[in-house]
Amino acid sequence: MKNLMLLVVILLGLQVNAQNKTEKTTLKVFGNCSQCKARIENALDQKGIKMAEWNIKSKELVVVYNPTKISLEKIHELIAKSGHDTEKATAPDSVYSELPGCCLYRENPHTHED
Amino acid sequence: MKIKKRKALTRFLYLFFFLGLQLATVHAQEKRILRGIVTETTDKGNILPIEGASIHWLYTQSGTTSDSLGHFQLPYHPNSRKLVISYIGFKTDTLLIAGEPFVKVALINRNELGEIAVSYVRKSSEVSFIDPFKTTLMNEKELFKAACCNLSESFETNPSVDVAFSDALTGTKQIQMLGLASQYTLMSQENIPSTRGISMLQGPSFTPGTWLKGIQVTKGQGSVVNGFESMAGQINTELHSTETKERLYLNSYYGAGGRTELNMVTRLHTDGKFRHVLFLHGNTTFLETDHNKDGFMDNPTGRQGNLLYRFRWDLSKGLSWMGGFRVLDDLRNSGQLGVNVDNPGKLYAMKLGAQRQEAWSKLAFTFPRKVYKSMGLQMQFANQNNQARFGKHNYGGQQQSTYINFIYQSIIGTTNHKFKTGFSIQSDRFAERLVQFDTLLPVVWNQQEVVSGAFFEYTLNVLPKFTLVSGIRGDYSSIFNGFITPRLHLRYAISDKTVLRASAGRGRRLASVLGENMTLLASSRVFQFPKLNLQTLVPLSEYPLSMAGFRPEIAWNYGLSLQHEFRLNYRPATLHIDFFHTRFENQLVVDRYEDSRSVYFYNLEGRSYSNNLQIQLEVEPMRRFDIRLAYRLFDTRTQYKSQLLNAPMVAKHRAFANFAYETKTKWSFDYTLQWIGQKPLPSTSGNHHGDLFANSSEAYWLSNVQVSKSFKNQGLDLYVGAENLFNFMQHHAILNASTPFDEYFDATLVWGPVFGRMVYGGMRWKW
Repeated sequence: MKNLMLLVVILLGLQVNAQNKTEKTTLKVFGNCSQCKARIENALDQKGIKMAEWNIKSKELVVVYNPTKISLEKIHELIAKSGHDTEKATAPDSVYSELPGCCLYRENPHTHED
Repeated sequence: MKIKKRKALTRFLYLFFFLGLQLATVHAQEKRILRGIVTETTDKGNILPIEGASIHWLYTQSGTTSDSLGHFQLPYHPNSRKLVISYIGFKTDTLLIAGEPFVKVALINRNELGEIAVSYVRKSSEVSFIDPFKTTLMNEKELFKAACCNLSESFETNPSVDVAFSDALTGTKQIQMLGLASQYTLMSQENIPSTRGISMLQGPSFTPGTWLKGIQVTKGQGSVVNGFESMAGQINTELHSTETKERLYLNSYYGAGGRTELNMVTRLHTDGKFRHVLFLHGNTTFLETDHNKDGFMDNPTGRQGNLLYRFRWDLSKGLSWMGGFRVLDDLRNSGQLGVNVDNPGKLYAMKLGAQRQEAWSKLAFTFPRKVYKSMGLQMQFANQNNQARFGKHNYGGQQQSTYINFIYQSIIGTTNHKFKTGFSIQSDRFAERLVQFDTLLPVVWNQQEVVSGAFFEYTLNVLPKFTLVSGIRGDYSSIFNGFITPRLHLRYAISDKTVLRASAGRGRRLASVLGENMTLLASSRVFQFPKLNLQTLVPLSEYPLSMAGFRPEIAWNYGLSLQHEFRLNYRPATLHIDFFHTRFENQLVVDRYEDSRSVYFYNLEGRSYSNNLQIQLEVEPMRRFDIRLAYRLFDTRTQYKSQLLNAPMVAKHRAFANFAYETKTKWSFDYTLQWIGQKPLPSTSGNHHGDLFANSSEAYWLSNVQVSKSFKNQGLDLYVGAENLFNFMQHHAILNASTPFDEYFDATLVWGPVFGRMVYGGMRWKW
């Protein structure tokens, strides 16, 4: 029981420690569907990224990251490399053309009213 | 003239326009464009368009998404006529398109179907936010975390289910929920009750883990549709279906102590309307081990052969027939080291045999264009035989069961109001015989109970806020007359992050007195039944258990649970707080406190209840790293002959931690740590000349570790692990182990592992 408590304390300690060094930002990423969502979020499964969540409707990606470990430019680059255009980076056509049909946001954008 | 000209021109224009339109239509047909609309029916019955639904031709890359009005258009594909429509949170629909220019697709909310979601990334173990039942869905990935071996061993990572050894001889692991023994949990396979009556104790070891696609663990009572028997909870298993992708699935496992298991699941069809799958399992344990040095084998040696066949036949549109059969043979031998169980001589021998044959059938019919309206007929026939010899005790039992359940489901007006109704017949014929020592009167249980009844369950959905499921069933037993089973489940979402559930209901079951308590024969304790009040001059040649006056067990269960999702340092986290109260109106009391050399069986007189509090926290501090922490409190008390006492072998406090980490290169690391508090032990105080046990056990730590590596391209998984990593053992597990034929011998006082650290390894291969 004591060991368990100790573990919880250590974990919480780590969390608080990590919190101070992170930055939160929102960027526009183009895509269509839940498959795109999984692909975009998986592309940001990288060291230095705490959280990455993309909203299908608003096309907004919320990223929490540690700027000493990964730069914002690198984040844009990673997303583009997976096949999704961002406000600053464009996906290579070779990658884009391999995306499944429902994800072809350039030809068939699915945009929300707002 | 001018007017005429104008008229002619107008006519011409009209003609031109119509021709043009016609041409355009022809042109469209040539290009063969499919247009359509995707909609959902809200809980208020309104039809709304779905925006962003994904539409594509099956097995192709050709697809699109629906616009804000739900409309889409998609060119016909030369190679595919099956259109797949999917949207997050909704059931994926596949339509066969004959060539119509326009289709309407009404997607069904996944939650209304209560299905396990498979199409998008989900946690390996989770509680649906929208399910009115407190159900944890464990998928294959979760089951892989505990690679060994069968259903009774699949709950290492799930703190809602406890697994305890029943004795030091048979190796049987008993499932407990809410601090109550396994018989109070309804075990079903694809919603047909499976492990009942005399197969209660060994039943879970008859379902190999590799055969399973998922397990649903429901705390508290289940639906009246599945019968009246569940009290503490329901465990429903799902086998790999006929829709399985893999042609062949192989698994082999080897554990220290000579435990070897082999599993094979083969899809026999390639395509078509008739699809069938064959399941094979064999296991053997061949080494005699004695880690705790008491002269007795820690685990029985033995073998099992297990074969299952299932099929699905889509007969016509909306009508399908599913069914299958299973044959099993299991043998366990144990006792003093070196014993020959068939000719034990002066050594103690235990021999346990089980055979099971079962066949089932399910007919399902969905009304055309009315997905909400369907009928189903489930049937099962099972025959179970058990033979047991524990030293000088002999037991033999047979149970033949028939189960028929008809379900009709539809809606009242809108999909906000749904109902299920139907009837069921359940018949159990028991033939059991127990001889304790040669000197005692044989105890027999020859009885058939037929329970037939009807049920009605109404579901009100005011999504996403509120769900009510209220069910009632009336049944008539051929022995005990009629009884009513009401049940109620409520779900209220306080916010989109917090949900509150409440449940209440009644359960009823007929105890299988000998079968459920068979493992208590691993001692010299004598089974004591109520004295018969018979006006007979001829001495009885056997004791008829049917005249002992045991009444069916009846329990009320009440539950309250809170589920809260939140962010812990930006990462998702979930908190669960559950409280469940079970109160028995009638119970078969198994009393091991009254006397150190007897087990008394009698009807409950007074109170018997169980309170269970569980606090569980799930956090994901990093991607691919999950932590699950739980604390559990059990207060299980029964009025025994002497007084109200805590149930034996149920620890009051327990703590649990599970850590799972997966690398991007598909290495998985799983570690489970458990702390089990002191457990009250049955009385041994009468053993003045023999061995004595304290009134309670020691608290102890248990931990399991597993490392696995997945080679996705080859479909191969390799794993190694260790159970009971700290090598903790109950060294003194058998009372008077050196003189097993005297009156003090008792191997049923097991509260911890008798087998030390067990290292294992294995592989899974999917093709």
